Amino acid sequence: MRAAVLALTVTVGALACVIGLGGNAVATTTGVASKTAMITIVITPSPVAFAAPKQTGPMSVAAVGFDWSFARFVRFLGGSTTGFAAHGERVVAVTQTPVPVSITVKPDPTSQFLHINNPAPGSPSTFTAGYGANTLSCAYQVYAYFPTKLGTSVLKNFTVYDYVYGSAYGGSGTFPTYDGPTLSLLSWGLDGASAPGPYTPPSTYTPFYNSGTTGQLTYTGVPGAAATLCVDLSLTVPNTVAAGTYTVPITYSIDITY
Amino acid sequence: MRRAGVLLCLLSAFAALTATSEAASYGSARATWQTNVIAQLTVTPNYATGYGPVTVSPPPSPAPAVGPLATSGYVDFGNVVAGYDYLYKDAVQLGVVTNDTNGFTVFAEGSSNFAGGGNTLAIANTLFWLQTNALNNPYSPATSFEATTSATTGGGTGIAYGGAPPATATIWTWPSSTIGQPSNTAMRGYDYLLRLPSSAPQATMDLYVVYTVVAN
Repeated sequence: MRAAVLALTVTVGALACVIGLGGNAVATTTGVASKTAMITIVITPSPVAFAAPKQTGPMSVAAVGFDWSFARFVRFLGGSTTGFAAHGERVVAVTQTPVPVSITVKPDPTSQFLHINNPAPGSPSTFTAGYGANTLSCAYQVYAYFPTKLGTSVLKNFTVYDYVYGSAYGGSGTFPTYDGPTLSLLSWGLDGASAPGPYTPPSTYTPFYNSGTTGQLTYTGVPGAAATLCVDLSLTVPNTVAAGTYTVPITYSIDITY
Repeated sequence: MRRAGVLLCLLSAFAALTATSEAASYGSARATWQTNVIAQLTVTPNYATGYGPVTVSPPPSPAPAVGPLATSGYVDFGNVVAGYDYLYKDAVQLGVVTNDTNGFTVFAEGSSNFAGGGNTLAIANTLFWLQTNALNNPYSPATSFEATTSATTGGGTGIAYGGAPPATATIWTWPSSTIGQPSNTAMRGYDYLLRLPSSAPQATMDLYVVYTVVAN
């Protein structure tokens, strides 16, 4: 009887894990795609204050030219124009300049296997949270699918993993996900097995994995059956954290086993 | 010598008489003026060597086909794949000259959403700005541009604000005159981020980001 064999092989652009058990069942796991969801968290109350420009009437779009005669006169006197703006009636000065921006969008060939709808339909684009415990139901959706066969190989399952992009064990990650071994204060739970459907609150929330690209299991799917996972978020905001806007990149990857 | 002394004496007497005469009829004139507040804005796209879209290492799958297609003032992300995030380094540099001791505020808004070939894509939560920093990556914190709600001019190259631009469009405030800065100009560079939804239409699309400076 042959001993069990565990071997790791790296393929181009993917990690493949080959497991031999007694020479009969052989399972191969291969990475297919990864996608990143950006979560924007706004912690209230926000300290942001805005002082409107001092103006009384409509503004002109026309450019205001430099008053060379005045400037030259001041320079002739050996002075500076600094401070002169405070005298007399104020005239609002406005100039505008446009910048053209162009994109050419190409299809994502792996979208059929994994893509993210962020935010989920009907959900806000930001997670507004106060100090203490907060939850947001179905913040975004993770769609995962793989057919029953890959060539002539029959798939056993497909799996979805998550991790905090850029995290590293022992690193200096900041609120809200930090770096391992510190636990992330931002947690996730699946809103039922898939959506759309009646809302089923997650029974538990799991801190996002924050120790590198290994990630943690998010979902195990059945080949041939698409899953649209509604991801609920839970966040505990301590009083030591300043109000403001925080962003968190969460990367999802799909692996197949056959 | 004696003649010179006499001449000097006569001149002194004449000067004294003249002064007395002017003192009797003096007046004053008050000069007043209004100083225009100056606020000039210069926007330089692709302002530094190495500008353009970049990928992270290792790149996500599939490797994005990045690269600017045009370089004449366009912030051109080139070919991008739906569902992925992109960073465009050194997208624009702003330079502002003002003599206003209260400084200035710079606003930036899209004059429209992305559009092209009959397709549209919202600029909000798709195109973002952040200050240039060597550590920036496609997942850096950034602020979304918004499409303006005001009327546009010049085919989208300008925005006719009826009042102040919205506070949410503020990207830079400066609290004092720029006189005394190098070239009397305050400078700041910005990167752009593109976060494409997986549902983004497959097309070439454009928009204008309009920068407006207002003296405070």
